[in-house]
Amino acid sequence: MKDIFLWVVLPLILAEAVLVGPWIAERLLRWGTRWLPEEYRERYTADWLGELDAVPGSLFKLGFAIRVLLSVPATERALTGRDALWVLITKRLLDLAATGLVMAVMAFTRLGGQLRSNPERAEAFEQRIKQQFTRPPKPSWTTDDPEKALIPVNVELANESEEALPVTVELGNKSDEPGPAWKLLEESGAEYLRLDFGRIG
Amino acid sequence: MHDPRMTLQTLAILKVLLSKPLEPRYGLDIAREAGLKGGTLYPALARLERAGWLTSFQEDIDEAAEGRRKRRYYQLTGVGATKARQILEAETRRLSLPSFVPGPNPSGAGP
Repeated sequence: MKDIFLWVVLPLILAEAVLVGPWIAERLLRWGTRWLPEEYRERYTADWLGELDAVPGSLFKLGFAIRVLLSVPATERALTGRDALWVLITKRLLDLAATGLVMAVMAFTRLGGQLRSNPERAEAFEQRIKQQFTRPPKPSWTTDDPEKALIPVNVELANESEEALPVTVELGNKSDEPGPAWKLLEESGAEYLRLDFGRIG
Repeated sequence: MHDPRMTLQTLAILKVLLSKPLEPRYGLDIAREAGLKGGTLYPALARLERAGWLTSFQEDIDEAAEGRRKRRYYQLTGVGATKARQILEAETRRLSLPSFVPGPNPSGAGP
């Protein structure tokens, strides 16, 4: 698999990049100038495309276009003397994300310290995490454990004159006595029972 | 007009342009000589041009005959050349380096 990637896929990707590199570079530059103030767009499109022609090699053209594209906010600030609204919003969002990340790291560091100093709490925390992130065991139709044989089933109890009554009962029994499902069925006076097993497990 | 913010990139651009003040240079040419990447060049050129230190023009060529698109050429203005020389000299003194400010080069020719 690794050999296929190294000798087939990678050369194909590189060949494609060489072929379409200049085209992508031009598209990137044209797209980049759309973020500049309107009065400068035409000029910078012409300027950067003119410069692109002076860059040798497809991949270098692509690299040039990416670098220029990344400099668009700085170019705009240089042209207008201030940051554009979209740059300010992006900066603020990045600031918020960075702040959130720092706070999360601090909270986890503090929590980690507390858990390290209290093994019982650490164990309880571990159990809680495990409960939240582990899937419940799949129910089995054959088991010796009567507790596990109780499977929740959606049931509609109904007769011809009344509306269907949707209930959820547990299929199975813990003992030889009639289970709650049977009692419910008897008390409801239902004439038929529709079982919807849905997806088990 | 405020003086542009001076960064190392801006100083490098000024040094390149000051080496042949009468010879207009296009962006990549300046970048190559100044050792800059494209990403830092254009904001610095825009700042200098906005401050009136640089003037620029698009070359007049037949694109089909040349096989390439027109380039924009940059050149120091009189004010820009004077200020650039002062700043580079001040920076040289500040850093206590041997002077790297090139002298006036009247032989610099246009494109």
